[in-house]
Amino acid sequence: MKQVLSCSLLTALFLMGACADDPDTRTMDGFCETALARVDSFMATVSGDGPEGVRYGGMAVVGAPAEMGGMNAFAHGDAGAVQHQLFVNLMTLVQYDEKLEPVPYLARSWELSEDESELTFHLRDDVRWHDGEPTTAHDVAFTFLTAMDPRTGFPNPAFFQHYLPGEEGVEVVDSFTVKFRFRPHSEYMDTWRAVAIMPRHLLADVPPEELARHPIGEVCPVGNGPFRFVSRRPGDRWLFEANPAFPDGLGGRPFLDRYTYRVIPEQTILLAELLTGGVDVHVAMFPNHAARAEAEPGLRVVSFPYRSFLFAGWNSRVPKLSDPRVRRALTLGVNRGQIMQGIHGERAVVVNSGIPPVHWAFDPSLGDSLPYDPDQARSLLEGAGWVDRNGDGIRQDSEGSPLRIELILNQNQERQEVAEIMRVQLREVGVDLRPRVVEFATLMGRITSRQRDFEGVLVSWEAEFRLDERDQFHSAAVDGLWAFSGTRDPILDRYLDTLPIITDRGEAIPVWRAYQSRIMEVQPYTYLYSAYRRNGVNERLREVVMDARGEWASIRGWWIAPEDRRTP
Amino acid sequence: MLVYAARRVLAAVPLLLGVATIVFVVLALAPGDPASMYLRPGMSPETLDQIRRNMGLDAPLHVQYGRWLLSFLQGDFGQSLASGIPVKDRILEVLPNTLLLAAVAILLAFVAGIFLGVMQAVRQHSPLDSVLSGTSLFFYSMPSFWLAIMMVLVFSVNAGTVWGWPVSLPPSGMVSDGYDLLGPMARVRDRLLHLVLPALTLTLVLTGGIARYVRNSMLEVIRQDYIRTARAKGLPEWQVVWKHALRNALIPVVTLLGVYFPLLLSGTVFIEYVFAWPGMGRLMVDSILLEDYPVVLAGTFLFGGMVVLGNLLADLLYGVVDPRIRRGDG
Amino acid sequence: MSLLEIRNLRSVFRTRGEEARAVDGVDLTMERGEAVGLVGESGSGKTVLALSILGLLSHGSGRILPGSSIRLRGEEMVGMKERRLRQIRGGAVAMVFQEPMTSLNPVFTVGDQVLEAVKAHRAMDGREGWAEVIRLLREVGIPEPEQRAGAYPHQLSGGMRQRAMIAMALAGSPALLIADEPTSALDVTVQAQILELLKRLQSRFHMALLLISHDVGVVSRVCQTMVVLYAGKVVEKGPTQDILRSPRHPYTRGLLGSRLFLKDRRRVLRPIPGEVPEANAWPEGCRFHPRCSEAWHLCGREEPRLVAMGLGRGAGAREGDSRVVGPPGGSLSEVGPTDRGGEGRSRARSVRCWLFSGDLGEET
Repeated sequence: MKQVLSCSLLTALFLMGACADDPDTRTMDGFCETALARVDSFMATVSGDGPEGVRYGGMAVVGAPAEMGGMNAFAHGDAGAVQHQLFVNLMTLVQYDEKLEPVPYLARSWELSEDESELTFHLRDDVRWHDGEPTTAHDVAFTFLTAMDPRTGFPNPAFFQHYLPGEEGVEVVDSFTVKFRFRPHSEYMDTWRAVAIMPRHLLADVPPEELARHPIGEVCPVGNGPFRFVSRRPGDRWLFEANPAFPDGLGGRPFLDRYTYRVIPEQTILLAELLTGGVDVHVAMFPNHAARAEAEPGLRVVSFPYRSFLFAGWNSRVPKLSDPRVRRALTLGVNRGQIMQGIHGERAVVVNSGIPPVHWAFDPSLGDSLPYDPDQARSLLEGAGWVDRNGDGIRQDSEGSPLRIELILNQNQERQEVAEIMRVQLREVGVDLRPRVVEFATLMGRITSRQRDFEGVLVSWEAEFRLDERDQFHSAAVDGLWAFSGTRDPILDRYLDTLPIITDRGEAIPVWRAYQSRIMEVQPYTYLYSAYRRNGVNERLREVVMDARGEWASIRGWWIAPEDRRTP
Repeated sequence: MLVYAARRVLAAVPLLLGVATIVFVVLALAPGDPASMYLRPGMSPETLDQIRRNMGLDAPLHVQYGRWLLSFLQGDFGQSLASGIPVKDRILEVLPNTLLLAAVAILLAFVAGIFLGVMQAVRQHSPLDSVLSGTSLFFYSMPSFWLAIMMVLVFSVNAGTVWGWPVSLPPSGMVSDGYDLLGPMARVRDRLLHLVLPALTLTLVLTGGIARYVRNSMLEVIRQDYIRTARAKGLPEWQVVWKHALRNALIPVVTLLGVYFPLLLSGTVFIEYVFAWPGMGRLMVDSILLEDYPVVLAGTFLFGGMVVLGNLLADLLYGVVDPRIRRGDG
Repeated sequence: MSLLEIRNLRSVFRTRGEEARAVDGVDLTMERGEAVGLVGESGSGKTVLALSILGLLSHGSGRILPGSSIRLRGEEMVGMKERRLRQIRGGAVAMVFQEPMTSLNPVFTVGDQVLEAVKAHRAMDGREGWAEVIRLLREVGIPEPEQRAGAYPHQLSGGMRQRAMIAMALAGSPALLIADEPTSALDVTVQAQILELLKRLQSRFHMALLLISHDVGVVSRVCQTMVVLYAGKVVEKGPTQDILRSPRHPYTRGLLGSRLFLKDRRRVLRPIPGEVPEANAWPEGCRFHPRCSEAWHLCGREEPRLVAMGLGRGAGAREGDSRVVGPPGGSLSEVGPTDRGGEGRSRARSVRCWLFSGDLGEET
């Protein structure tokens, strides 16, 4: 007892010591204090009266059901965070236009060498970080080198897959010219619309291992984009303000004075906020909420085809799923069009491969070979030796073990509905599909771990514009994280090796088509559909254009007429 | 008394550490790890391992535990794995929000619960009693989640647009957009308006239980001889009920106060979730889902501490409300 | 005008959904300064009678039936407004309860509780009130009243608590003090002190005292008049000494017989067999007959009436010195001391317990 007591006393003393300053924390706080102070003083010098015009002013709020990562391109790779890096707080060298063609942004122009192995960017010289430092080629090189450094843990290393490593890959020609060297590959510009440039002057001294959790990501981001960071309460809201120093050549400061990103986890409440004017944009709206929002005067639903799609991945390492006939039967036995219709109406497209409908290589005619055809599914299963031997409606193999497949998914209303319909429809062809809901972390653990402890998984996938499915289907990557299906197919391997290095789209299209045909034969997944993104938008917020680039792509042009502005 | 309280709190520290340790082990055994939130399509296993290393997750469990313990002893609870923000800052940021909401709701719930409970007890078996009993049972047993949604539909969505009430309450959040641009009075108003729905919902949920408890306690007390004495003295009925009976009926209610006390820190997950209230409950749930164990452990420790404090508070309050068990010379 | 005149008091209270007639037609008159003892076993309706006088029945889910009358100094209290009743409670009529343990509120100090009573009936500010509290506590014999006033009930002995209760009752200078078993819960030595105190206070303030007890001995020490209650009805009343000397009703005799006479070792303790029946299940006929050793067949059918008789057997009764005896379930009105005695005397033998009256009522 005495020991317990003295032990607790000791602990209490330490607890009291908690008030004392911690050196570790101080460094971090120190960074933010200094950085934000510099941002403030720079902004004070450039704000002035601002431009004239009815469009300037007002505040807009975007409500989303989930918190995003931060403004650190080295660490935060979730869709929300990436869009804020690309369109709000940071800048990329180029952006895509509505046709998904690269247009100048931080880079004024660029040229590719004859042999397609050197890419030179000429940067604008009028872009400044929010603390007043100019954005230069050194920042671009720093971003490249840091992302390439394995110690950083950069989440999207695939973007730099074909680049020469380290210093060989980049050369700062002058302060506003930077040159990259790589092996010729397709869609090389996509990297530079996807990776935001990070400020070298603030991060050069930070060890790469510590970059991911550096306060610049979530506590005090310092960017160079059209909006500067003002404040954030984790899990609640981010507040940004117009950057008055944003180059006139790029349209100058954005129209909105302020932009707020709010997290409202409950979808019904988010809808209520949209209906009552608390938020101007409701991203990722439930399908059944869209109708309610559309019926409301003053609101509209902006939806657009996107790069994500839903699929059931089959683990071919499991013997009963190793036969492509079985996997084909699983696809033929599911009425994908009907499921899609039931949930999304017209706002979705059935897909047959990992090429999303917005991609230039997408070919809708390919779907015809995989219709809803239960009879063909039955005969395929019979051919594979799965016959209902005991008359219970479920097929068995020759040893009598039933065709029972567990399909894991995480807690998600849409996926749960899809899984249930799949279960019912596959029952018709004699397959006992057992959907099972697990925690998302558990699900990821099970499908990415070396044990691959699962049979089927229902997940959605967000493809990049620059498609490369090597890590999903190439036999060399079969032990990688993303090879759920365990596919080993020499023909697919050949396509997967070739496609990334065909630089001409015209040449690539037939190869893509052949690749897709092969995917449909191998059927590693049952691809379901690619749903449109649905966002509710209050009409007072003008010129909201949303497309495959993302919800925030046009944020610089959003404006609110003076009479519509919110008076807080 | 102070010594007694201090001893009680200190004696709880090893227990709380033990609880936090168990939580640590459970989280460590749970599938998935905190690095998985950084998983991106196209990421190589090496990158994932690097991220794990950067987060300090490559170390053996006992080393990770040791690190956490050290950070705990230093009082900063380490850094959040998800954001790199010190856990202490993270908690201090949301704690006042939870405290505000829970304190208001608990206060309202006790005032309302005591009032209703007394009314019911005084008019036992009357229609009023039945109606109030039914109502509190309704709110008590209804899914709180649904109640919260209904509150929003009624008081924010329909109030303004359909029924044209002058005030439609904000459905979520703590402050309006542009709060920092408001004048001081408008800020107070804005905060109050945002507080109404979550606090009211939580109050409704809590009140039923308290009212039932008070009612039963009052019914017990109202039969006592000293109530008859009070009446025989010629005291007016309100004094008999609200002074003589209530003071005695409140003695067991103190236990409830101890039970609800931890809510001040822990908040209620569903309220904070539905109303997008940035508080402890949501921080904890989010952190559990991300397996952000430094945050979860610190939270666990705090909640445990609040439970201990709640019990202690109840014990001390007993002494205040009931002279028979007052300690020392009182 | 008498201080208190109770006529045909019938009171019911609810038990298990039924109304039980706990007091069933009681007549009682009390004069100023008179000490009356109300005797009966538990369940005989004594406490309900006392609560009826204070108008407190409604708070215990009971009520006084219409047709009853309680007049205090001629003022009808049945159906009186609550406001006026409150003035009387603790004012003109005060009450001391049986259990000093539970009758004091445990969470307030004794002084505060007495102070409440003072303030309820007298316009006094805090200082005056508190001085009055101390005076009252001293009056009832609490030593060091200044200190004791700040004590909580649990810090006092049973006797002290009962003294505090009495002080509280005195706060409104009552004309009638009802003491419901004031000593039953106390030690024997303390009992005597409390009784002495009541007796002293009664004579000093010229209060009427209605002393309720199951103990004839207690009553006999303080009261000149005694009323015996059984099953909600008065079965015998008269001067205490007379009743003690010659109890007329078998129940009264039973009560006396069940007492311990410490001085008289020859008397054997003879308890009355059985218990008072439940108030919602009074027996037919004479309510005492199932326990009466002298009952005969008519007792189970007929409700005998209360008759008045003179003092002393065979001797003519003196004017005003009445004594009433009667069977349980007795008449609606008290019979005068000497009137209406003559007729029907020949039927005396028809109801055996009436034999003792030597006087007969009319045949029912």
